[in-house]
Amino acid sequence: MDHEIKEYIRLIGSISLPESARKSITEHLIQHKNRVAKEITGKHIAAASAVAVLAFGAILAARGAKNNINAA
Amino acid sequence: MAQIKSEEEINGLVNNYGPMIFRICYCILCNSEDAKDAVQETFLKYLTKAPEFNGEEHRKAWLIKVSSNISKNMLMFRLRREAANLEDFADIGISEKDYDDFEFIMSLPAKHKIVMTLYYVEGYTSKEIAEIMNISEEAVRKRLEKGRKMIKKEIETEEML
Repeated sequence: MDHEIKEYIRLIGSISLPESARKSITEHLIQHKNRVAKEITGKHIAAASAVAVLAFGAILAARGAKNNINAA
Repeated sequence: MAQIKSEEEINGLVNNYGPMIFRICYCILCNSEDAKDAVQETFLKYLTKAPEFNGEEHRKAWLIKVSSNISKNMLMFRLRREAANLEDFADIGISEKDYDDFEFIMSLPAKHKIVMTLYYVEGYTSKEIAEIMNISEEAVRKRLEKGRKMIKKEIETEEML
């Protein structure tokens, strides 16, 4: 291999991600992951609540209908 | 979509691929602050948009492609920071005796640097680089040849002086 290529490999190979940057990037990614997890949990709770409200409403409506039929 | 489940996995991801991605981003951006931003952006994209991978090589190729695209976009819209400087060199681990040679290498066109870095430093073949960079194998070979010539010319000029 030519001398200039060896030099290129050595110089580019010696570029390193500074330790402080590595830490801050990792922290940022962990924060992002936790935020996304929280948002997903929040959405699940909201969806579950909506389903419960709808189910309760349906039960009440069915009961009301049944009472009407009995009264008639 | 690739799922990251734990902080350990994120640590592993940054430790395993961070240095390589940073080298690629730095070759394009020639600025350590911008390169750090590009690395972070690449990993964020990985967390949110990465597909299922067939293996480590597939994952690595995806990261290279995404990081080089992010860096190229940043280069187009860069307003705030100038190109490589001596403070940068110290920050990224280049020793003082190599400043001149490193400055010259950084002055090469980004398209030659990426191809040369993938070929000589990361060990990819011309065919693999063509697939990752979405260019023809012929274009890869031409860029390698041109890059080699430019470095050789500079070294010969230095030796004459």
